[in-house]
Amino acid sequence: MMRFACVVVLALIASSAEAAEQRFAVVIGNNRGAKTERPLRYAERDANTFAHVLRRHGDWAAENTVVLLGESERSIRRALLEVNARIREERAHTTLVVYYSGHASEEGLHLGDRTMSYRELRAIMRGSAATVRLLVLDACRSGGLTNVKGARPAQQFDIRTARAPDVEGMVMISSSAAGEDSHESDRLGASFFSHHFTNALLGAGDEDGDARITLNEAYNYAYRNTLRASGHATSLQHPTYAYDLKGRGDLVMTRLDRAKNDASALELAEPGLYLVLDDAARGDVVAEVRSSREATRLVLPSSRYLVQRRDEDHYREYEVDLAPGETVALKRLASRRVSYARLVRKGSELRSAAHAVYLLGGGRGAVLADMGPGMSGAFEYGLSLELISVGLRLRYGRGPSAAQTPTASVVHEELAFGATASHFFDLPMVSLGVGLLVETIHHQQRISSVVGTDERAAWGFALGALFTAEAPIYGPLVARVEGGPITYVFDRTVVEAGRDRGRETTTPLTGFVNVGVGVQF
Amino acid sequence: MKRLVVALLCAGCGDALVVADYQGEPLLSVSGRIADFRHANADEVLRASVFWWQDDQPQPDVLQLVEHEGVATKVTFPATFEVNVFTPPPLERLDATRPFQIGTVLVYADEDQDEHLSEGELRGGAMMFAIVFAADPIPVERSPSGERLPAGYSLVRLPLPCGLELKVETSGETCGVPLGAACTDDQDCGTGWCVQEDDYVTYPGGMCVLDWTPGGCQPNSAVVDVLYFEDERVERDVYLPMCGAQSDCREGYECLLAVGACVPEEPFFLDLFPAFEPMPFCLADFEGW
Repeated sequence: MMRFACVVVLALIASSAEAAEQRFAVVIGNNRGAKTERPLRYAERDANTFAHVLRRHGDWAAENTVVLLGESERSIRRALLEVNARIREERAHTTLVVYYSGHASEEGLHLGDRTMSYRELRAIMRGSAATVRLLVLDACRSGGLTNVKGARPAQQFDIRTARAPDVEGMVMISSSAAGEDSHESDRLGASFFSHHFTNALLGAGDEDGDARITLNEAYNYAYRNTLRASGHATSLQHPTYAYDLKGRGDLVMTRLDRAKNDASALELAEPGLYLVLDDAARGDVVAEVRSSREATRLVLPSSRYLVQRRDEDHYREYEVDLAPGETVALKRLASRRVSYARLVRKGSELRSAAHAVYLLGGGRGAVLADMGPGMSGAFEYGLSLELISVGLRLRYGRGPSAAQTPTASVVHEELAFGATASHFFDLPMVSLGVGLLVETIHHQQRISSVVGTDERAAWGFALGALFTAEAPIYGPLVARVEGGPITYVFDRTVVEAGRDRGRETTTPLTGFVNVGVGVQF
Repeated sequence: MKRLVVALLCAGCGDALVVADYQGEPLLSVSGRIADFRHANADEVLRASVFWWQDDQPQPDVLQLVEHEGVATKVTFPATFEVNVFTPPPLERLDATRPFQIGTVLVYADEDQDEHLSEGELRGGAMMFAIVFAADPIPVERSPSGERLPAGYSLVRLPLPCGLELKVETSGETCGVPLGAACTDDQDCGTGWCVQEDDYVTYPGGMCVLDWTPGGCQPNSAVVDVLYFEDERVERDVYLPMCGAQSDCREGYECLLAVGACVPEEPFFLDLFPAFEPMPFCLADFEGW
């Protein structure tokens, strides 16, 4: 895992003068960039969320936090200069955080038709009298600010070993390296970086469990998860940093141990990936959290949530009713194991497909008139996608061991290669599927009579409706029951007076039922 | 994928699959015409089957005949029938010590729907042919037809000589007629005449015959038979070419072994008429139609 030299440096940022510290923030969000750039969806929302977290869980007073949404370059410049002016009047240790979410290029921020260059931005930040200055940019190619091309190797560093009260200087963080895009996620309703950075501040980044989220922890967490999440996008996204600091220390961004009385928290269980969904709304993703330790605490608004913990072959689902001021530990709640097939069918960016293999056995009705039903066994590989689940199966079927014609016995065998396509409806205990089954079948008949033995081989195919019920048994094991009507197509003999008088294509309709087990992965 | 598409398009490739009413390749297949002389009950559902003589009685009660199970028949009224036999006769119900079994085809109305011949159900059957089954080949001297019969089923024309020595009148004469030769008119037949057809059959290519007259010339290798010409209200006793095997006869003709004469090949007939009774097989028991 990546731990960054940045972290080392951030750790050097002094914030030990917490008691007398004054904190200022300018939080900027702008969905609109240049005319040639497609408007962003979540930049202004990300800015709002970030400002809310600073005010509620950091020590940023509302009057010291300026939020600028969709504002022009001129307004932003004026706001920055005004805040700097206020800081100059402060005698105490001051911290200035400037956050920007919006369009950018390698030259600067795109604020509508105008660009504020990184050079100017750096100059304003450097000119600030704040003891510690933190600039966070969540924008495409924002690595131009830090002049980092691509990922920088991380260094291990324990920030708690180095504390000093006299840190001063500037840290710049960008959501992507120069030349890289910064991605938004419709599922998260936010940009990857801001989502993970904010979640880190709400507790997900609390590596040491001290309920104090440092910039070091938040960056580490955001780096790892942004990089991982962008692995599903068209290009990777590496957050970068740059610093110019003196002294040592640790900037505590948020303190969950001093949360307001009505603040609610969710205590996650074992380490892993958690998805917190708003159960009361439309199942929107509230937070995607990858906790690295036991009992990570995540501050959340009181509401009703559906929490999913992801494992390799399944996820575990918890229903959480979070009352104001309450902390709920997941490990004390009942949960249910859910297959990834269900997750995929719900539509997941984390996983676009789920796999399974099945072993099925069953029977089907008589295909040839009066020849009796047959037994069959099948092996199937299944692939669950969001809208459709498909399968490939190999089936062996055998008719009655010796179906009797008046004077001959017939053994009828089928070797079929089939494909299935179903749409599943996931109910609480069972998933029901409706779909189609098509098989190409190699028929083999062995006819024994007093004259001797005759063997016949023929190709045909079958097309049927497929109704499936699937329920979990234990672990990744599921039980499956399936069946439906099916029509065969093949050539049969035309018989007159017991003799073969020619052939005709026939399409007998029969039914089939299979039961079996599957392993999902 | 290509193979899958080919396989899908190949529905119907290969053999045709057999179904439950398929019984395999028959050991014996008899087909022919049905002559229905009944004037009532023409809409009856009739069933044809093979029946076997239990013993050597020339004309047993039909209800004592053993019906062959598993015979498939197709009867298309008003004209044709097909009987296929897929298994050997029920030897366990017959006298298995005999070198051959002999049977016939009977037609009955299965009024009680028990799929067996019951009293009052018989409607007709084969009068001019019989079925012989032999477990082993039958040599000429033991053959009821006077010909070597192979193992298995054989169809034979009735009546059978059953070892009866046919008396063949031979004088070494041709009597000026190419007996049995093809002809188009009487000019082709010297002292004889050209028969093209009689009341029952057509003579393929015509056949030269010679009238029998008391004390008249008796040609060599000839047998006397009767030809019927109803239109002319006459019966003519004529000399026909003699035969001892099918190979002795011209194409289109068969050797009627009981008579020892080449006669036109005829389809097998099943005759339906009131008061039908199965015929005896042997010429000695035969009283004529």
